[in-house]
Amino acid sequence: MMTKAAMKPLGGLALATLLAACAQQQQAAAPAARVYAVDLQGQAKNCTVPANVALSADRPAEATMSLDNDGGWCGIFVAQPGPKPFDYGTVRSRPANGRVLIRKVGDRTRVDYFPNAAFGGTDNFTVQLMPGGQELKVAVTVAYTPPPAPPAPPAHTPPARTPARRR
Amino acid sequence: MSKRTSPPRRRAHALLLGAALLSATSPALAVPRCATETDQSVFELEALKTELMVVATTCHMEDRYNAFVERYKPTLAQNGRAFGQYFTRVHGRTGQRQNDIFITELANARSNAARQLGSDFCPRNGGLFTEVMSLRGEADLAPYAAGKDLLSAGVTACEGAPAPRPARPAATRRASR
Repeated sequence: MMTKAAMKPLGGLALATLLAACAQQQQAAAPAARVYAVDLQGQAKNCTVPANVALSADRPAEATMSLDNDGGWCGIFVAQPGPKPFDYGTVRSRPANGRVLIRKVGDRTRVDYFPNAAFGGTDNFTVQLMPGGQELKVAVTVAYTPPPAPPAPPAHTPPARTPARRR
Repeated sequence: MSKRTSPPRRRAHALLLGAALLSATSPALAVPRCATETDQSVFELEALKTELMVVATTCHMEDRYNAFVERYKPTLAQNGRAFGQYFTRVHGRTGQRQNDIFITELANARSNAARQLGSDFCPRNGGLFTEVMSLRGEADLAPYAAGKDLLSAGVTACEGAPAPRPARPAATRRASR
């Protein structure tokens, strides 16, 4: 009975200390934005993009992207100082042979390009990021290796005539 | 007897040949896009509206959806008209029906996408409201929708439109009779 009574305030105190420590830790380092699994899936196996793109309000930034067309996306990360993601992005000029997806991934914004199926060649598009209105022009090179041709259909051999089939 | 078996075999070969030609020569596997930029934008904006509706109903964010509709009412109304006109132009008297079918399929496709995300859907896609409400103005709505890639899964923009399509080989046409 005595032990229980003595333990109660001590446990409450320990919990309060722990909570305070957690709150302090959260205040010290701003919590990183959540990254969702779906935003990490489906990347093209070979996707080469610049690690850092310097965006400028004065003139459009230019970036190159090269990827193998295996059905996956290839994305360029951009961010505001912090880093923190842009509020939103808009498509200023569409790619002729693919699609663009601008999405927040954690603390940054990622500009994804999906080449059309079976497309190989060059493509380009421009996006604008807000706030700030910085433009990013992306020149894309897509490598596509067509799958091996399907096997030829079996040679036509006329069925052997049998007496039973004769009229 | 051999005469009877020959035509189906020839048809099968023609089909194989046609399919091989089609896959080898055309970009038909690409996600279909509207013939004009204007029509493409109309479909993308309609898809964005549907996506936000799915987010609102799934995540109990009806108030945010209402705020979105209220803010962009003129643009959304104009887009809705253009969307209806597209189906009337392409499908004539059955335009309204085709319009309804497309909207239903679009909503189903977005709901399926939501289901695939499971518990991540609301925290992740709920952010769309924050984004869309931070646009500078109505002029940004269509370019914003263009960067959301909402027409790639399950539905295709301008489905049934007289968009330029690669010519099908004669063999395929004969075989399909």
